[in-house]
Amino acid sequence: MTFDITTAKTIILAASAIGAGIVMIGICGIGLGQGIATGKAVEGVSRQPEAQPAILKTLIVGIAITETTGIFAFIIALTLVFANPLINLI
Amino acid sequence: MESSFEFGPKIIWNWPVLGPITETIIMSWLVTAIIIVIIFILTRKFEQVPGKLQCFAEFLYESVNNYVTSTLGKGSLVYTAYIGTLMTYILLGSLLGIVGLRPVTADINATLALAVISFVVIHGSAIRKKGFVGFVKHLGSPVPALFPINVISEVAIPVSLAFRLFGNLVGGVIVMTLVHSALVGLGASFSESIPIFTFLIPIPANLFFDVFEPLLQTFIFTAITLTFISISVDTSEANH
Repeated sequence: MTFDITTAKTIILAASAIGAGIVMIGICGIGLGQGIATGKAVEGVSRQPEAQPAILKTLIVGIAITETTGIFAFIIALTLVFANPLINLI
Repeated sequence: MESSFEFGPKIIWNWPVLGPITETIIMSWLVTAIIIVIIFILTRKFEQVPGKLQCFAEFLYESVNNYVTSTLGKGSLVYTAYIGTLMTYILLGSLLGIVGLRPVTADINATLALAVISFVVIHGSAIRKKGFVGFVKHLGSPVPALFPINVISEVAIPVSLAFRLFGNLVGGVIVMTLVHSALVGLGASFSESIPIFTFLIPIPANLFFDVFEPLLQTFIFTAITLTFISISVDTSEANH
């Protein structure tokens, strides 16, 4: 089965859009992780209110590192939607 | 792909010698010029009894120095200078979004350059502290078979630093572009153009993406750099 070039491009664009959507599922893990980290931090602060600045700093750095996975997923989705490398292959 | 949105930095001029001059480069020149002017005004004349400008300059230095000291455990002029430079550049470069310019840090080339400088500083301070043999020995700990994995995890540091800053800022740029174009379209769908759509409603989004995010990302970039520096100069065996 052979396609003309417009059909092939359409298929690639549709598949890239679906792929970008699937990639962003990775975000839900980060939501869970950041929620758990923040919950533990709140527990720590309520147990030891005087340690609040140190806990806040550690929490922000930890959340930033957790977020990296989501940023990678976001960049892959961005590449698929706005700078599609696959469209030049045909 | 005929998209109506173009999120990459525009190419202003194709310089045949050094390659294209993009929007990012122009903006980073602008940021550099702003920083030079501010620092020149602040440090023009120092006196024994500080005036207002000198007080402000001393306050800036003190806060950066306290931040570095509280993370590293001890003060260091070199790291204070580096972290202060990094903070000023990232903060001003990201805050350009407020006035409608394109943030410098919403370009992977700019953030990767910053991250590579951080990488060199992290490992340079490790080599200076432990010597080259100690540095290589540290990479081969706890067992020498883990050497390749340790090398990969070290190389992943600048990549993740760069992508974190870039992803956050470019996400903000995209969301702000979409919000603005949606509101302009909404305003145009009425017969008269309604200015409230283009200047009052986006303000909360602007506050989040153009003020809060740059502040947070500046803090995170410098905090992670400082954390890695303090890990790499740590010579005690307990943390290996």
